[in-house]
Amino acid sequence: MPLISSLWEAKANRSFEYSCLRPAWGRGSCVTSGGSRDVARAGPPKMAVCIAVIAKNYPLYIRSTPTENELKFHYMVHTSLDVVDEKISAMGKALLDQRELYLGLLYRTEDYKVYGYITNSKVKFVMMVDSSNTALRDNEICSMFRKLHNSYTDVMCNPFYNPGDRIQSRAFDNMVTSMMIQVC
Amino acid sequence: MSPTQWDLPVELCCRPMAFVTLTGLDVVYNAVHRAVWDAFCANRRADRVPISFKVLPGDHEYPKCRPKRTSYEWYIPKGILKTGWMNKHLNLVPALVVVFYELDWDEPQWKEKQSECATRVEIVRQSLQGRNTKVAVVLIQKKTPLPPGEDVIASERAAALCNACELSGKSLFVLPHTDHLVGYIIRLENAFYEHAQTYYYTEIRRVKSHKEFLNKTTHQLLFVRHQFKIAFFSELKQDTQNALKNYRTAYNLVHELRAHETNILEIKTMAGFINYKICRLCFQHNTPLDAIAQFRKHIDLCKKKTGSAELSFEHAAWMSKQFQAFGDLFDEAIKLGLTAIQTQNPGFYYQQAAYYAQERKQLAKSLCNHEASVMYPNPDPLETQTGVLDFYGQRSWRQGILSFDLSDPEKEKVGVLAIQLKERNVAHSEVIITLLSNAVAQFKKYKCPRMKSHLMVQMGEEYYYAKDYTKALKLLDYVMCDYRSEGWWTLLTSILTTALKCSYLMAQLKDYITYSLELLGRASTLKDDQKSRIEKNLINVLMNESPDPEPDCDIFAVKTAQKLWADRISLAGSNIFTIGAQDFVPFVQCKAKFHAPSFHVDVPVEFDIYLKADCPHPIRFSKLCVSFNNQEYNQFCVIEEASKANEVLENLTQGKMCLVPGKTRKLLFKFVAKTEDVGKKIEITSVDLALGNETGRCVVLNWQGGGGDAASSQEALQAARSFKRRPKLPDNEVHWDSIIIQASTMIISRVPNISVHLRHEPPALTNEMYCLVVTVQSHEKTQIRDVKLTAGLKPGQDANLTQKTHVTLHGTELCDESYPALLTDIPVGDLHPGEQLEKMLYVRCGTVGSRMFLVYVSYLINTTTEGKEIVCKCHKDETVTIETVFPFDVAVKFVSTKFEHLERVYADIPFLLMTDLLSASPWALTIVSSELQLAPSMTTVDQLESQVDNVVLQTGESASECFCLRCPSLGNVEGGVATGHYIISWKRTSAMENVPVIRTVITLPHVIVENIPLHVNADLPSFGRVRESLPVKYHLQNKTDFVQDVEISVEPSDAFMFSGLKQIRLRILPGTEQEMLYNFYPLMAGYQQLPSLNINLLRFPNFTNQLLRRFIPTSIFVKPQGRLMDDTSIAAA
Repeated sequence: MPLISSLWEAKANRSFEYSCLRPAWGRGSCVTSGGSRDVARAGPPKMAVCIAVIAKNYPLYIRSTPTENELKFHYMVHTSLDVVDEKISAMGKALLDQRELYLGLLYRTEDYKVYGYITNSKVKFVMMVDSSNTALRDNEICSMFRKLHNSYTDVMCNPFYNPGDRIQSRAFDNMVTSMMIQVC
Repeated sequence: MSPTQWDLPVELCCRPMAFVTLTGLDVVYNAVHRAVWDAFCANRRADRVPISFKVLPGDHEYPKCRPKRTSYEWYIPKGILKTGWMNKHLNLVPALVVVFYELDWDEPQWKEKQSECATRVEIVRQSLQGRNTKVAVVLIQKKTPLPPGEDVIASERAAALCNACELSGKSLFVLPHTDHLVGYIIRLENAFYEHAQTYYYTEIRRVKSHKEFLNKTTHQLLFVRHQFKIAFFSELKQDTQNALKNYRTAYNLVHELRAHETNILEIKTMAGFINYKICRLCFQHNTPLDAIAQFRKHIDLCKKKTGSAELSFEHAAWMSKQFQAFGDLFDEAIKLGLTAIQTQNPGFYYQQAAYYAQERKQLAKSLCNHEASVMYPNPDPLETQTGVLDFYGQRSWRQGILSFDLSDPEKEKVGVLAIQLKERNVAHSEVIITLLSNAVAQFKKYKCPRMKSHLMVQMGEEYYYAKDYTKALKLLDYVMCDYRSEGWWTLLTSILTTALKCSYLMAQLKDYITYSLELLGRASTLKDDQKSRIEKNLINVLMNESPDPEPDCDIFAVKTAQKLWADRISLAGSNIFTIGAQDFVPFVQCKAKFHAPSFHVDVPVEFDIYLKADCPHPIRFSKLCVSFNNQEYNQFCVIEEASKANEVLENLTQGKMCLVPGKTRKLLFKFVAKTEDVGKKIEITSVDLALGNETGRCVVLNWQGGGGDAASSQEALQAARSFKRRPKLPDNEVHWDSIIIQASTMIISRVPNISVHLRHEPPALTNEMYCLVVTVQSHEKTQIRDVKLTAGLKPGQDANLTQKTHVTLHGTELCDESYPALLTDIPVGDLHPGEQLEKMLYVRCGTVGSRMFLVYVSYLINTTTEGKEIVCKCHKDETVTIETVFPFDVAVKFVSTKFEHLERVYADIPFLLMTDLLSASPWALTIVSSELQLAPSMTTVDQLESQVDNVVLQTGESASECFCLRCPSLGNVEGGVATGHYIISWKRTSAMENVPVIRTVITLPHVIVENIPLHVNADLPSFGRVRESLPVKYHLQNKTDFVQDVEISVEPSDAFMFSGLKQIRLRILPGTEQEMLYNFYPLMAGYQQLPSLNINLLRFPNFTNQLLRRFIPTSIFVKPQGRLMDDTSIAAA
């Protein structure tokens, strides 16, 4: 069972990557992969303040930059699930299969913007960005999410990883670190 | 400065309406005036024009108008907007003053009245000197006026009155006091409204005209003020589009002002006011997005304008108010029909307001922590002469001073101190909680359960800061389970920590223990040192001592709490707390597991209780007891160790009562099940683990069922999915995750040790007494008692089978319907070891088909288990499927006397009934006898004797019988005539003598009977001989009631010569018979065709020769001549 789901996850993600070349996938806010790959190669914009991976309702992984205020980020990630739930339920069953994985801006507060992304196996990614950061546009956020998704797929492909357990992969950790704002 | 300093003024928040005063009305003593006033006031719905009315005496003094400034050159404004200005134009300076005066056109003393009216108008004008306020006169008249133009006196006098009062004709109104008062009033107020609009229009023009005198250097404030005034007048004029435009301009102008620490509050205040107006109008115009955009812009612009650092809490307070006001506006708009969405609803604004309120509290806490000795300055710098400020947003101790330099630093210091000291008295928590609860209400509405929980946590924490621990605990406890069920352990731990503090400070024992248990558990993300501290406290509490205070608690509160704890110790109340584990994640985990899903009753039931502690230090429990659905077993499953209270921590690693962190402890229990519980389920209903003992305090952790808490089901799921290989452990240890809870087991009866055999000869034959021999043999070591046999049709099959199957023990008599299909509990007595008994069982099956039969043998035996003697009931069953078949098939046919098949028989003419009995049984059958019971309509021609008595039929053999019958004429019977029954009495050939004979009754088929007009039969020998005369006599019988003409002819044949009438025509009388005699003379040997007799009935053309041939022979066997001679010739040859 876990093996199948992880394979499926991998396959879904691969097909997503490849099918980006086809125009059908080009619709919506996530545009073709060419651009986003370039961004990825040029070094990702290190902008996120908090990145979380959530299965069902509980967190598999949460990292936030200013560690002293960790609790606040946890709360924000948790509350953002309200919007994710609402977005998914609004989409309905039929659309669920062909939907865009990127959910867009979930909500914004005075200080932060919260973005969401949902994989085919209903694992949610939540990313928080400083509100004042206007350089980040949907495109960049989307490509960051896709990178995250790839890395998550790698974690899932690990036969020793048990889906539903907390993610402890070092590779995933490094990936997340590369996307976070560096506090110096 | 009131605590509501930050609230927006009422006159800003209301909807501005044109202000009109009514004079000359005596609403107290004059009923007519009262009615007029009521008509103005009552039912001011949305369809009435927006005017606010006020009744004032005719000589009321209106606010004085300051002399007009001719030049602004030397004028320097002292502030942006005067505090009284809005109120002045809303409630003090009218747009129109109406003078009511009672005067009819046909007034006899017209002159006097006219001049009195003019005087009244003059007085009003006097007090309005310098203002553009309009004046109008309304004449209250008793008579209904004539249509205009008809009343000459009226128009004359009206013109005269206008002249006297210096009024234009448009400002004179007549109000007849008649039935249609409200209608007149509405027309009147519409006219007033027009006047008011003109007034405000001129006011706007007047303010605009000042603009050209202003210069950008000294009059910056005036730009804002004028723009604001224009916008406000536009609003009074109900021109909201222009109002919005002007407010927007004013807003931009405010931000162009040079800001400095000294005037930043004034700028922010005004910006806030104007922003409020803009947002309000945007919502009113149903452009909520504009409102939101404006508000965002406003916040972005003002966020950084903190002002003086010493009073930074003021900025936070102001920000909080901005958000709250916008939230209120948004909410109001929603109430008026706007739809909000999940991500854009008032809740966010209330939430943000609460954040700023929290920030305000933080800042106030750090800035206002003056020593108690610091006295509030005297004289109060915040007092002003009038009690109010002259301009919005200015400091009371330096009103109207525009210079950016502080002229009097000492005074400034005192002022700041006064504000700080005032701030200290503000109930911040109350403000925050109100805002949060507003936000909670909104988020509840917009499907944000998690946001709601988050805000409730904040409310709880705020109550904690406000030292209202009961409320805090209530809120935290309420949301805790949401976070627990979703598995957000970090958040849960944080909430629990606060909750623990609350329960400590209130000395709530049970709560304190519950939260400690969970904070020590695996769901808690606390560090080990914290956990150690909590565990130590928990043990202290269990030993009836006070715990150490929680860190970061208020010192005074801790002191109170310590006193409370001390009181708790001396209280001799109930000290046992039972806590259900399924609602939270305690630090001890429990799993119960029966060794097998079922146990035989003669084997002890065994199960294990696994315990595991997650706390940092080993812990000793005092008692473990397991409860079952049958409470009689509870007593066998208790572990208790008499230990002294102080031993809880000592002797740690020894004894099975001690749980070592991380290690799984297995406890084995064993008991003998009751024989009454055979076939029942034994279930563990709960496991109770006691920590501490009764002398101190005792906590009983209660697991429902076989263990498991709020988090364990998810963990079990993960463990089941996991492919991870677990490291090998020593034999007596197990992996916690690999233990699967098994909380129930079945008690099943002891394995029987007897054999049951069935002997019979299938298949069964329908209706026979089928014999089934049951052999029971005991293989037990001891005698078995009370052996009982239950046998018969197995229940649960087709209901029809039950009706058609009967079982008996006595085979000598046939059983009928009254016999049951299943014989239960036939006592057979006792059996010694090795003894065998046999029982015959007879089954009668009424229908064919297969049936399942059950033979069930039960007995009692005494055995010993675990030194305990028990009586076990054992049973063994056998089932057998028996097919039932028909013993034989019976075929019946009708033939003519010539053995020709008959479709129908002819009345009064004999025919044959042939029965054919074909054995279908695999066993030999004996036909004891057979019997033909004829129906009354049939008569027999000869004796009806059975021809098959005592015939034995093997499989496939058949026995036939033949009966000659006749059917008298009956007329035409629809569907034929009943023939009767054929009864066969039979039994198995192998059956014993005393087995009864079975009678099988077969209903014979109906036969169609037909009448014929003429019956012919022939008398002729059975054979002829060549050249020997063969006499043949034909009998012709007329069966009808008529005389029949018959033509008879005989056709010649090659094989015969004959003598007799060849062709004749004769008559036969009804019921009589005619004989025809022929002498045939055979010429050839062999089977020869007789000369055919043709009969033609003139009355019945249908009567054909074919029919005739049924009755008379058509051929005959002719023997050759002289056999003897032939024989001799052969011999000679």
